[in-house]
Amino acid sequence: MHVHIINISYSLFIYMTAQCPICDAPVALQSNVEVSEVVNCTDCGSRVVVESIASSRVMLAQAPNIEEDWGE
Amino acid sequence: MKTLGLIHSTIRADEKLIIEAARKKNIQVKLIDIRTQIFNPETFVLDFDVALERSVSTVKGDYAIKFLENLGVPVVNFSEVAAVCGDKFLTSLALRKVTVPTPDFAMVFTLNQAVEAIKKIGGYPVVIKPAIGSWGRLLAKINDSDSLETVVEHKEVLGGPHQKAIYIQQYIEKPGHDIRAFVIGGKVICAIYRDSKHWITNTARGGVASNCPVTKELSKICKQASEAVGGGILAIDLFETKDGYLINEINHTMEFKNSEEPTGVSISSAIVDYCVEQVG
Repeated sequence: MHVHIINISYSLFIYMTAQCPICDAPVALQSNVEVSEVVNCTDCGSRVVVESIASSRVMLAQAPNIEEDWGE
Repeated sequence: MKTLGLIHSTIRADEKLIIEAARKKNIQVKLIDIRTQIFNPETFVLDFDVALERSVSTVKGDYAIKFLENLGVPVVNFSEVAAVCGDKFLTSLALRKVTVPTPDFAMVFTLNQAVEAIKKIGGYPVVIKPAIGSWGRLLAKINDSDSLETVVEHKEVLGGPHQKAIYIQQYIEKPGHDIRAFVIGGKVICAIYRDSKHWITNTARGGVASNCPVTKELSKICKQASEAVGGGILAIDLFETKDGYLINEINHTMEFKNSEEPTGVSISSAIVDYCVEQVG
């Protein structure tokens, strides 16, 4: 029963996967994913950014490099 | 229902927390991506009540703030606050002007000036920082004149115009940590210690956050510092010394994702509340 509950919450938490633009591995995305959100590919470690979300299809792109004026 | 315009260039964990906090309060969030938005006053659609500037790029964020202020939209933080906090030299000047304790500092443009300035600050070590920069990048602890010559020469040869303006700050010995206070509308809502074996304690550089009790003394100096730079939503970094606190830096687009759990305070919720309060 306990395992069953964990499985349900996991399936709600993970919305879908998208293909990493660097290594082609599937990148897991949370249900509240937003356009412009930066996520890490767990396979290759690359920083990737959510470029678009259209119906159930999420497109990822390589995240921009950190620039001189970035920060707080 | 009020609408919060969230000016951003990437959605980080911090922005996600703000979005979630707003939605829990039934505040609508309009995401304004500065990479796709056209900032033309003739065509820009004003469909939000207040804007929160969260651009990871300081330069682009500053332009967005000025644009929206020009259109009469309340923006958090004000452009004047962003201008002062976005530049460490201007922050030091603002603090010194109203005698808020802060490390000694100087701005110089040549090696000879730097040598003289360091003598007047009290000698080595000192810290050279980019006046405009963040996340502990390009900070240099200068222990002697050899290091100074090397760093200044590298800046003169390899740096852009901003890197050639050399901001020097007195080095303050830390007890293994510094303090970051989260200050909203002049009030410290919570604070963290940032522990690190390295002299750079930014959490972006591996500093570990833990809860720091908010004392009257901490609240008082943070209120003074907040007023010195124009108020709003600020993360104030402080050093502890035997003579009391010193204000190191003030951040106007603070990152806080690692601080809600150790403090038990919903910083994102307080940010949203403050923004909504700005709607006339």
